[in-house]
Amino acid sequence: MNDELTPEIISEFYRTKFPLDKFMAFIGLSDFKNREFGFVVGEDRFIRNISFENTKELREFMATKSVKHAYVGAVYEQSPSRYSPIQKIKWKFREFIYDIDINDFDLVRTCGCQGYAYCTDCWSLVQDTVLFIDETMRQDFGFTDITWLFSGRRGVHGWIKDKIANNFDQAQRVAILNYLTMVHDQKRTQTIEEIPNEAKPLRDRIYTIIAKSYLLNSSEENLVEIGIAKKKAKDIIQRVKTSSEFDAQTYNLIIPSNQTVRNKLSHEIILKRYPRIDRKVTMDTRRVSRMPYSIHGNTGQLAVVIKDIKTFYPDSAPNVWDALK
Amino acid sequence: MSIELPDWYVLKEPGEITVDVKNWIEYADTRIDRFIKGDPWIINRPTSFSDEEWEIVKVQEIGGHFLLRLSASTNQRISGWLVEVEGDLFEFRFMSSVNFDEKINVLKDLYGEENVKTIQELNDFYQINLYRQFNLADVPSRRARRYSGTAKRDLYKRVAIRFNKIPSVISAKKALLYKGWAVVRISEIRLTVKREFEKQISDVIKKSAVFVDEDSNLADTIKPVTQKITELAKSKRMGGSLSDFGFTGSKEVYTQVDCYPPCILDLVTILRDKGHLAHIENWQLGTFLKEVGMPIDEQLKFWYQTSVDNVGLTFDEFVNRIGYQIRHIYGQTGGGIDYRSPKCKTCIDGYYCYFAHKKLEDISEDIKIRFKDKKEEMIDSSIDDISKIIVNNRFQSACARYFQLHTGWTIKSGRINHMVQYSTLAYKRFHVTKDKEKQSGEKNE
Repeated sequence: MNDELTPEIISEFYRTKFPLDKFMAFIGLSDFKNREFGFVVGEDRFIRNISFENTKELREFMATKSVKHAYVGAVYEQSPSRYSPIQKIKWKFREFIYDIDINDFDLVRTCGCQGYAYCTDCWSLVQDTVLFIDETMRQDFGFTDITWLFSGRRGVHGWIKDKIANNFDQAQRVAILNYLTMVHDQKRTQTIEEIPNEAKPLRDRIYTIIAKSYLLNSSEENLVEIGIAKKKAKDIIQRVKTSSEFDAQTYNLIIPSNQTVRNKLSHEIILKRYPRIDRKVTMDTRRVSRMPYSIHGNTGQLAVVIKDIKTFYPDSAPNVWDALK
Repeated sequence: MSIELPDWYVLKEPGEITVDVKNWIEYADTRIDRFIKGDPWIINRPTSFSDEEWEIVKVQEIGGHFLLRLSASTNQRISGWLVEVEGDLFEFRFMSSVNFDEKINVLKDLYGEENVKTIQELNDFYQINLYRQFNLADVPSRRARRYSGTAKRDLYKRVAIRFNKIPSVISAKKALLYKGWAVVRISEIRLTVKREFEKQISDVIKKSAVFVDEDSNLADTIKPVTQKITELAKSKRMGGSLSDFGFTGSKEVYTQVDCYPPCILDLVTILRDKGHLAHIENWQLGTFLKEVGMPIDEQLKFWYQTSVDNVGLTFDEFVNRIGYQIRHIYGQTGGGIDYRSPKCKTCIDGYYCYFAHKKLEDISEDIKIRFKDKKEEMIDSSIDDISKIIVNNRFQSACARYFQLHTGWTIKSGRINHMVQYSTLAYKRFHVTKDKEKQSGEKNE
């Protein structure tokens, strides 16, 4: 697709094109000295516990070392270093981060893509996930400062930077994750949780965002298998395709009232299209995440901010060669 | 703006109170006796009481609690006991208070005024009607008919708390979330609120130590109270008893490892593999082994053989240096309290529960290995059932289903309440002959 990603190209990008001002605006100016960074350098050597006195040092490091992958971590009470590793210094704060990877949907992708591969069909699973999580974070949890970034290869990262979220401990982060989780043991048994009575906004969102995509991607036969009569199945698909605003109310109106059918359909909707999240990334307050605007060392693509997930497709993301043109 | 807190709430600032030493000790004595009896009480001002009469009741209540608090500040074991019994009492009072505003005010005090709102306050703030928007009803009609008392009806009323203050409720999806506020029924937060109260009472007990340190007269005053609690502890189990569950541990159960519940088997495996457990897990395992009949000498040997703390130590040295906690469990050191093992509810909340804390995929793997001799369909359907129960946060029911797979017996109540209950029933199933069973007149649950 592109030329080889050489150390020289990486070095030139970080020296001349890396938008340091945007990056700093993203992570905030305060506590920069105490922020942990991690890099993959040389022959895939991963180094952590690195901090910088100022942004000039950061740029110089990334350019000189031609870092293949760059990561940013939490802020500590003192500057992380080889002599003050993060395990020995006091943690101060960390943004609340989601990692969505297309390969987490491998068990339910029907297009034939697996692993790092993706197509417009399966990428819609990531798009729905982002829409679902973004709305849940804003409407249910009241967060306002949320940015979605392309990971540079097969997924997206959601950064919640509201001050209150920075200080969440692991229990609070896990609580939010558990609230969002409907598919347990997602890489094996995929056990589906019943939609809870009290979490009504979550339930309505499932019927608005997830159900709509499920029904749009279903054939009449799929719905007949669930127990819906053929004529009704045809009608449902038609209604979804023509509804300008599909929401939970529309869903409840068009789906047959038979409880067994409804339960079966909800189960299928959640199983096939509900968000899958890499829990470890969100839970671990000391984890490093891909540095916004940096290069993905395997693809040469840049971890840019996604303005509108509905129109974003990985192939259209900018890469280092474009940036250097 | 200060909020009006009820007089039964012991974290309330007491204001100026005067009490002589003799009465003070008597009030503390009375409070201890009531705790030991396990009979919770609430203080409400009768309409016929004058201010003076009510003041006496308040002084007895607050005075008794404060002296216990000071005593507990000097002794970690008494502190642990006091936190537990005051926690139980608080829960009872909070839940049985007939005044909904009282409940709200207590919540505001525990979580901070800015973190608690009534639904009306939330509606006014966001200019919405939550009940209409989400089609909510405070009291489900069927339940309302069943519960006629105000206090019980209050349990179905909702309150709004900032979501980050009640993570366990959010985790279980038992709240309706709106803009960072968890709209939740009072009945769903009772345990969380109790834990918050216990945390705060534990902190104030610690802070009280400074008063005793600075005043030698106070140190003398609390002595008889400390002594009374210590003596009672030696003669009696404190804070309830296993008979509440309708069973007791058998002396022989500990010899049958196949009867141990999965949480304990896991702790034993981790201990054997890693050589150590977290402090609370040591406590859980130690108290369990004691309660299923393992004598102290044998338990000391067990820990000596399995724990890494034995490195370079002879058995005697181990007993002297490291065996403290085990002797403590058996009441042979410290305050002499005969400790009990935690109930399942407590394990889910703060100790180790196999179903609440282990990954679902690991549980299914464990089941396949442990019960490999059983029919594959039976294992698959059990894993399926258990998984579904776990994801709906019914961990005690998951344990009962696991027990069914393990023993073939069904637990009538549908849930396991205590690790010792699991072991005792499994022991009966596998190791008590029918004759013995007839003799003891016990029934299969």
